[in-house]
Parts: sequence; C-alpha cells; structure tokens
Amino acid sequence: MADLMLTPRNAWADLTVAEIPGATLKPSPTRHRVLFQARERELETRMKAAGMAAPPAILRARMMDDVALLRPGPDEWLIVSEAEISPKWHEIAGPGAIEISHGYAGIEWCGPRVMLALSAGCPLDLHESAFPVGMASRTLYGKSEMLLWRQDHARFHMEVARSYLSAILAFFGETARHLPQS
Amino acid sequence: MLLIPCPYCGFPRPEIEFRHAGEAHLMRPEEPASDEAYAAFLYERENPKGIAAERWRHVHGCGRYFNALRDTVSDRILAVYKPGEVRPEVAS
Amino acid sequence: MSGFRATSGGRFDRARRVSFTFDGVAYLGHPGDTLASALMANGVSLVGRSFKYHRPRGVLAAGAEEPNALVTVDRGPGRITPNCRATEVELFEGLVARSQNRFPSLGFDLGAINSMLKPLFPAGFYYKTFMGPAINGKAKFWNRLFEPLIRRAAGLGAAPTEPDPDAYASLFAHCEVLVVGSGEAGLRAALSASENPAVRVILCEMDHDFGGWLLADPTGARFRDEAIATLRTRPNVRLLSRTQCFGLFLQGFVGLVERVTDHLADPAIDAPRERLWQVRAGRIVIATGAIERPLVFPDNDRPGVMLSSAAHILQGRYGVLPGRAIVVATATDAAYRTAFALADGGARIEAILDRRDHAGERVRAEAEARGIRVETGLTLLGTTGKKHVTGVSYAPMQNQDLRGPSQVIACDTLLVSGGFTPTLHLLSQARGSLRWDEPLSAFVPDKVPENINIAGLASGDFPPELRGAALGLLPGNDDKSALAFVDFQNDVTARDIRLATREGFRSIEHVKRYTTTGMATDQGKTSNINALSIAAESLSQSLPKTGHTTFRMPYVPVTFGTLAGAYRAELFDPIRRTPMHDLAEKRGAVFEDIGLWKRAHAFPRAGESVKAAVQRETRTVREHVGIFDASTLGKIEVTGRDAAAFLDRIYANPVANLAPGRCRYALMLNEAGFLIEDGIVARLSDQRFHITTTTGGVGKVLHLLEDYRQTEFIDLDCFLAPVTEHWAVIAVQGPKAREVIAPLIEGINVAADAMPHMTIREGRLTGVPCRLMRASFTGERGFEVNVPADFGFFAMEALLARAEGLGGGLYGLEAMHILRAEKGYIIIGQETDGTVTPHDLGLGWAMGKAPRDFIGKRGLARPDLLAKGRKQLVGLLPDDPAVVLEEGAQIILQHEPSTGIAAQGHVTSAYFSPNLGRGFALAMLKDGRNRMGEVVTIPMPGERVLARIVSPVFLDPEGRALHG
Ligand SMILES: [Zn+2]
Repeated sequence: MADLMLTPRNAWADLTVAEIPGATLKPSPTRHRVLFQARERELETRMKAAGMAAPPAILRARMMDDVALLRPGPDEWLIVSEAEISPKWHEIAGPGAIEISHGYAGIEWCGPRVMLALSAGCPLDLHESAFPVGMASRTLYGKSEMLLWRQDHARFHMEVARSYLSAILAFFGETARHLPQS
Repeated sequence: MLLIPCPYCGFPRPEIEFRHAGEAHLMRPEEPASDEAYAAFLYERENPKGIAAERWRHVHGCGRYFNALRDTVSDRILAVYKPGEVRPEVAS
Repeated sequence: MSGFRATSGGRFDRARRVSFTFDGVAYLGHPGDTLASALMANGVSLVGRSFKYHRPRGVLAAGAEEPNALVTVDRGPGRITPNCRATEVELFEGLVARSQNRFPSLGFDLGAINSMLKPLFPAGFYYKTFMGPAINGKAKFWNRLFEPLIRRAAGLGAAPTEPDPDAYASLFAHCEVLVVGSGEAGLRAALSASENPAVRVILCEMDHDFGGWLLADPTGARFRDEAIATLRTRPNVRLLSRTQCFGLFLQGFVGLVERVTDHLADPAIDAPRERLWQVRAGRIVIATGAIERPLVFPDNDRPGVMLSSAAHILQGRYGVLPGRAIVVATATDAAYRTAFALADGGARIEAILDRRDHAGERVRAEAEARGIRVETGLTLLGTTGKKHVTGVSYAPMQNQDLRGPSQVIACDTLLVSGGFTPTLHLLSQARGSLRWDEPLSAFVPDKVPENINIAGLASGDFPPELRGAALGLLPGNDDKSALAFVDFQNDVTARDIRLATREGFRSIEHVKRYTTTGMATDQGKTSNINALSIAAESLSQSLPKTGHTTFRMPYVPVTFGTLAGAYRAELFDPIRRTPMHDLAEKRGAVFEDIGLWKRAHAFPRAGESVKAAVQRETRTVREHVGIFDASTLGKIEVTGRDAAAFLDRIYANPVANLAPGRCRYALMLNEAGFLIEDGIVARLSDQRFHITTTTGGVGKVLHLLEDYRQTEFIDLDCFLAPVTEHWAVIAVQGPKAREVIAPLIEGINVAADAMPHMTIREGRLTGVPCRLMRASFTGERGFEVNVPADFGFFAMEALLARAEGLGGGLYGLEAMHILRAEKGYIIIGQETDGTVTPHDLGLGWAMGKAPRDFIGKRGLARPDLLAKGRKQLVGLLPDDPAVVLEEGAQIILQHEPSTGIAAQGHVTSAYFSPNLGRGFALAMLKDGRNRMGEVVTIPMPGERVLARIVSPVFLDPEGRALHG
C-alpha cells in the first residue's frame, strides 16, 4: 500500500478565471512559503554574513536570487519561492520559521486595467505615487484579506489564503464586468 | 470610514483594515488584588466625551497592536503610539 | 391652459422623438428631455397627489429638490423604482412611469377626502394616534383601524416585491480634489485644480449633463462647452455625470452614486445599473449652488405654481414654456429675468407681483421697456383653480397691514421666488457649521473643515439679482385661512408648525419630528428656511437663535442595491471550502455553513434520509471506523525560545511541562475567568508547538495570542502563525483506526505502546510529509492525520478506501456532534456561553495542582465564580426514550410548576443516539452535580417532558476505548 503516491491537487484545481480585456489573472507558479520573525538589524547581519544585500524596508518586497523576500510587518518576513527553498534561506529564516506553503495561493495580475479591477475591492490608493513598484502590504480585496505586491506598473502579485481563492476569483469575475471604461 | 495612521506602516490606512481592541493603558492590579479592584480592571471603562486612549490592531495589514488618542466628539485621531510608549500630550 | 414646447431654444435633440407613457397614456418627447419637461411640453401639469391630503400637485422645481413630482418608473418585474423625481428621470424610448399616492386615479382620488378631514391630520397626528385608546393593555385601535388605514393612505410609492435582477458596481477611488457640482463655480474649480497634471480631479454632477444653471442660458452654455472640452483633454480628470454626492464623511471620504443604465432604453446585458464610488479626496470643493424657495401663502401648491428658476431652466434647457399666461410673484430680481426669458420664448407675462417695495433698477427698467405690468409692495392671499391654477389673488401692503382690497389676476401659471438658499447639506454632513446671514436671509457656511472649500452660490456669494427674500407665511394670512404649504413633500403647513410651537415644542429638532417638516427623502431642500422662519416668529425669537436642523445623509435616496454592491447571493461573504470538498460532494454530502466554511453535515446514500445517515455514521464510528474532514479546525504554530513559557501563561492548563511528542487538551480563559476556547496543544519539539482551536475560534485566538505576545508578555521570545490552511486534516476514528492508517504511514511507529493516546509524531503518509496526532473527539481510538493541503484530497481518498475495506466510511459534522456528546465532551459556544468556568464543566482537573499563573486565574477566584449553586454540566435522559429535547429549552425542578417559576438551567445539546438507543442531552443546571438521579421538568412546545439527571458521560466512562 505504501507504494501508492499521493498526487498533489493545488488550490486552483477546478477553478476557472474570468478574463476581461486589459486584466488577466493567472496562477502564480510560487509554491513554497516560509514565514519568520526577525528584527531588521539582526536579519541584516545574518544576510550580510551570507553575502546578500540588505533586507527590504517595511511593506516592501525584493527578489533575491531565486526567491522573493517580503516584509508585511515590522519584524515579519515572508519567503516566497517557485523552487524548493534552499538551505541557505532556511538558515537565514532561523529555527523559529514556520512553513505555510500550502496555506496560500499566489495570483498574478497583469494588464493596463488591473489597477482599476483591484479598486473594485481594495480600499488603498493604488496610484504609483502611493503604492509604488516594490511595495507589498496586506490589505483587503472585497471581504477577503490579501497580501498585494506591486511588481511593475501594471503587474501585481497577490497572496491569498487558500480557501479564499475561489471567493476572490468570483469577486473579480463579477466586478470586472462592471468596470468603467477607464 | 476613518483613516488611521498606523505607527508601524507609517501612513494612514483605511479603517476597515483595523480592529478596535478596547481601552488602552488598563493595568492589571497588583496581586493580591481586592475583588473590587479586580472587578474595576475587568469592567470599568472611561468612555470619555473627548480624548479617549484606545487600542487598535492593524489586523489586515502589519498585524501590530498600537495605541491611539481619538477625540470621540470629532472622531479625529490625534496621535498614535506604540505599546509601552508614554501617552502623548495632545490638545483636542 | 398648460405648458407647451416653444419652436426654438433648448439643448435637447429636437430632431428625434421618443415615446413614453405616463399613467398608461402615451406621449412623445425628445432625447435630452426629463420626464418632467416632456410631460409639461405635452400639457400635463397634474403629476402627483400629496402625501397626507392627496392634494393635486404639479412640477415645482427642476432637479433633486423636486418635492411633488415623485413617480414610479417601471422597467419590468423587480425593476420598479418608486419615488423618482420626474425632474431627474431622463426620457428614453419606452419609458413607463406612473404617478403615486392616488386611488383609483390621479384625476379622481378618493384620498383627497383627507383634505376635507384635515382636522384629523394635524401636526403630531401619528404620535397622538399611537397613544390612542388601549383595550386590555393592547392598542387595538392602532393595530386594527389606524395602522391599516394609514398604511394604505400614506407612503411614497410601493416597493417592488420581486428580487432586484440588476447588478450594482462599486469602486474605491482616490483623488487630490473632488468637485461636487458642475455649475460655473464647479467648472472653474475643476479647471484650475487640474492644471497641474499630478493633481487627480474628480468632477461629479448629479444631472445628466454638466453645467448646472449655465445650461439654461446661451452665454453660460458657451463657457460650459469650452470648460468641459478642456477638462476632457486632461488625463488627470475624471468627469462623472448622473453622479450624486450623497454623503460626505470625515477625512475626505465621500459617497457618490452614479446612475449607469437607468436612462437607457436598451442597456448592455452586463452593464450595472448603478455604481457606488467610495472616494477618498484630499480636498473637496462643494459647488452645489443654491435652491430657490417657494412663497408660503394659501393654496400655494396648485399645479401650475412653479419656482421661477425651474421655469427658467425648463425654457432654457428644454425649450418648454410652463404656460401661456404667466404671473411672476417674487422677492428677488432673478424672477424678472425668468419673466423676460419666457416672454422671449413666446409666453405672455400677465404681471410681476413683487413682494418688495422696490425692485432692482435694471430689471425694473427692462420690465418697463418690455411693457410688463409690475406691482410692488404687496402680499399674496391665495390661488384659484382646482387641478390647475387659474388665478392669483394679492393685496397691497403697507408695513405689515393690508393697504387695499384684494385683487385677482387670471393666469395659467404662477412662478414664485422667495429667495435662494445655498445648498449646504454636504457641509453639514461633514460637521461644518452654518451661520445666519441677515442681509441674505439664508444660512451660509461658518466653520468649514480645512479640507473643504465652498465655491459659488453655495458659499453665499450671491450676485445682487439673487438677493432678496420673503420668509415664512406671507402677511395678511393667518391660521384660519386655507392650507399654506411649507414642506410640499411631507404636506406640512404653516399652521402645523405654529401648532407645534403652541403645544410646547421649542427646539427646532423637536418641531421637525413633530410636524415631519424637512424629513424623509426631501430633507427640507425647498422648505427648511420657511419652516424655521415660521417657528422663530411663532416663538418670538430670532431665526439664528432658533437654529436649524441637521441635514441627514443621503442627500437623495440611494438604492439598497448600490449600497450592497457585489456583496449579495454567492458573493455576500466569501465561501470557504476545504481541500477535500469535492470528495465530500462526490460522496453526496449535505453541507452546512459553519462560519464561512462549508462543512459536510452528513453523507446520505441513495434513498436514505439525512437523519438516517447521521445515525448510520454514528454507529459506524463506534463499531468500525469513520473518516472525517477536520481541516477547518483552527491550527496555529508557535515557535521560539519561550514558546512553552508563553503558552503556559495563555492556557489554564500547565503546558511548559509537556514533553516533545505529547499532546494536551487545553482550556483558554479570558481575564474574567470564563472559558472562551479549547483545543489541543501538541509539542513537536522543545521550541515548536502545534495548537488547535475550534473552527470558528481561530481568528479570535490569533488576535488574543498576538495581543499578549505584542503588548503584555513582551519579555518572551516567541513567534506564531496560522497554519489552518497549510494542513488538511483527516480524522480517523473508531476501533479500527490503527488498521486504517498503519499501512500508509511511514517513519512512525503507530503501535499502542509506541504512540499512545495524546501524542504527536512527524513522518510520512505514502511519501508525503505528515503530522500524525493521536487524539479523539469521539471517545474512540483516534488519529488526526495532517498533510499539506495539496495532498488532502488524495490522502482522504486513500484513507477512505482503507476504511471502507474495513466496514467503515465517512461521517459528517452531525455524527461527530453526537459522538462527542455521548462522551460528555463540550463544544465551545454550545455548552459554554461566556459565563461558564472549567469547574462548572467538571474540567477543573485540567488546570493541575501546581501553583502557576495564567490568564484568568485571578478571575476564577472572584466570589461569584466560587459561589455555590452555579450551573454545572450534567446529562439528561428523558423518561420517554424516543424524545429528543430542544436545545435551549429551560429546566424546572418542580413537576407541576406554577406560572412564573424560575428556570434552574437549560439544555445545551440534545440528540438521538443509536449507540444508546434513545434520546439524550447535555445541560447546564444549577448545582447539577449534587442532583444526580433527580427528575426535572423541561417545558417543550405543547408538552412537559420529564428527564432524569445523570452523568454527562453516557458511554465508556473509564475511557477504555480511547486507549490500546
Ligand atoms: Zn500597520
């Protein structure tokens, strides 16, 4: 019996995504997530020792090597990665790190109208002067919590709790149809 | 919807990201505490007309608890400060 | 005679026509018309019946301030909108509109008899009736007679009965400057603010076209056209027409509602009906203009009586003249301009009756040049006519006295101008204050919040022609004379307001509520100042001393649909499903909502009832083995050097001494000492814990843990994160539980002595990482298999296949509830209600004996929590084994209770148990543990049930089934 292998079935299984001109949503390939706590200076020391750049400021995210390091709170850090998180990063995250890989799903938002589409549910000012490229913050989208990371002018990465994914896609599907022209 | 300046995030954020967490600066009475003193700690609150010191949590944001001075008449938040910090002096 | 379309003028599409119906009669109008302008162009002047007296009413105003012409627009089932202002309803091909508040028809209304019974409807009628005669303490007259009558007679249109099929959109928007109103002041503000391309500007206009009063005059319209063209070229400007600013809140937060499709004959299938804009604006410019006031004199409400400014707009924008023989009664020069414009459009101005002794030089000269008859220094005494005005009577005045006999001038239209009021509802909503300006006879802005500017007429900066006022009931009229209306929408007369002050109401807020003036959807737009003036005069005090009432939002009615937005039906709240949801669905699960989660209630087979399925599943677990999706259970990981010390302070149980690999059932109290949460604390290693909470409690627990971690136990080094959704959990419960899991588990010795009850191990389930917990909420041998969520579905499938091979199967939430209740295991929120202590539940043992401090310890020592006679957890067995008690039913000690006897406890859980073969219950009962064996009475609908008090553990009290 033990030779039976369990096939993974991720949060996107059986979900469909609405499409509108100018805003595309697709599953993010990021699958690995580790959350940890560290004071900024302490982490900076650890990262420097590993030959890395300084960690990002609060509410900022940075691509470092093959992983993204997000800082959603003053002492709170999130590693998000497509590939298995390397021992080097586990070292940096420290012994108290908590794995939350399967608890969240990543959504890629692309296109000239994504800012508008997000505004149907996000109360933050997403203008680039207020939410610049590189910013990453938890906030709300409709009645669901999300962690929103602006990767480019018209490209966002959204981390959502696994069981909220379908509600978020449904909310997008309903509200995206009703956006004004611009 | 109020804008609340989170002292950790550093700029005003919409109220719906926050959760109110009751009156600030409540001190658990020193042990041994009388029943009266403990009941007061549990249940007696200031509820002022004017400046109230209260706790908020940026629950859909940085997740941190902090204190705020809010004028309950104008609903203006006059100051925010981190737990453990001294309540600032403000004029309403 | 009534209104008609002039051969030239206006800003509508004269070339095209659209057809519409009003009260079933077909008419033609033009694109660009409002329902009001089109009706008047067709000579229809009677458009509604008044609220209380069912008086015939016509169009009074030109926009949102219209109090009379409220109509129902019918766009088909579920799309019936009552109380639309005809002055705002845009005409489209096929528009169906109906008048309101009339029976059987607008022309012949039985309700108009109220007019003759007017002594019945004085101010305060409703309040006085509420206090009417009561019989045996019951207000029978109200219930049986008055209420049904009033409900039929009163009201503003009828709500549709079908669900609303339309979609409603909403958006958050942010700008540096929001301009409300697109008249001259608003356009200038938007133009100058948007010169800087970094400044985002939103200009909103409630009308379907930008420009406000500029649209009524050709010179103004040119400026308007140029301004709009410029604004359209600026990418930092958002122009929103048909968009009403209905609420202004603190810190620049503003509610706008945009009417997206109501004006379209054939809207796109996908288009929303309305859109809510939740705007955060750095600065708000209120450029909402001014509203003209009517004159208060007897019978001032007949169709054909209209505000002078409204007639001007009607002629200038829609090319419609309100009549052919027009009298203008005024206290301002502005009405002279209206008279001139109408004369140019082809109407005959019979006279201008000026309340004042002198009109302005320029208008007087022009009137003379045009040969228009002007009378000054006079008062109005009434109008003649029935469903339309046929004449107006006036008399010359000297100071406050009549100077001569009254005279009548025949006319088909009477235009009135009692002065102008700056529109400051929004300022008032934003907690700005107003000040009485005596020369202007109006309230003007006083204290304005620093993020708000008031521009144009709204600021009280009136050009000379708009100055002048005739406030309150015009002299020469008294209470005995006929009805002189102040608030047209609420049918409040000058006499009503005087009556209120005579009956002792002195605060203007009280006068407002007693008379209903300035209430409802109208919010006193045309009536406020006149009402205040009459109240002030009658209280013999100045108007500023009388003060003004607070303007409530919304400025105009807002549909529920707009406020609900996308949040309805499936999207009302997020629906959360576990990774194994589809498997449950495939197996025929009936789901129930637990918080936001969908959880399987039971798995009825073909032809099996839900009830029977629950009984079968309950038996299966006790006899064989059951598989249960426990993924929704809250899970939190706690790590760090001081994780153990932290949890030891949090839980009422000692946790610090828990060895790695061990689990403990643990209780969480609040500071008051009451039980708020329970769960399992599992120690994975020295500095890592996996704790579980109830499904609904995890948010609350996280909030609480973070609170203590961040603000109180700051000396402790620990970290925590919710892992509820990282782990899918499959509970395997029953005598054959080990047989089910053993062949699938790798790296863990699951033998009884190697992995006893309340232990946790990490290993693999068919190659996948797994946290295996030996725990039981059923009283049977049990394992809880945690696998990363992506593997939950197939892990459950694999475990289920094993279980089914052993005679087991799936069980749902209801079977789980029965299983735990048979063992006397409590559920937070079912056995507890926030006033229950561990001792009350017989769980005092869990707190241990060693002295230590924890949250709630001091609370538990409070006298009331130690007192004798507290409610305690007991079991109940009804005498009749077939009976299942009602949860929440009260418990009485007496078997023949007299009326009024106090309950001594209540039933908290009750089920039928297939394992016991009878109904049973858990209950909280005063001094219950000392009452074992006693028989109590439980009143149930239609009967009294007797039940015996027993231990809350109904099965296997020694807990033998858990072990081995
Ligand atoms: Zn924050």
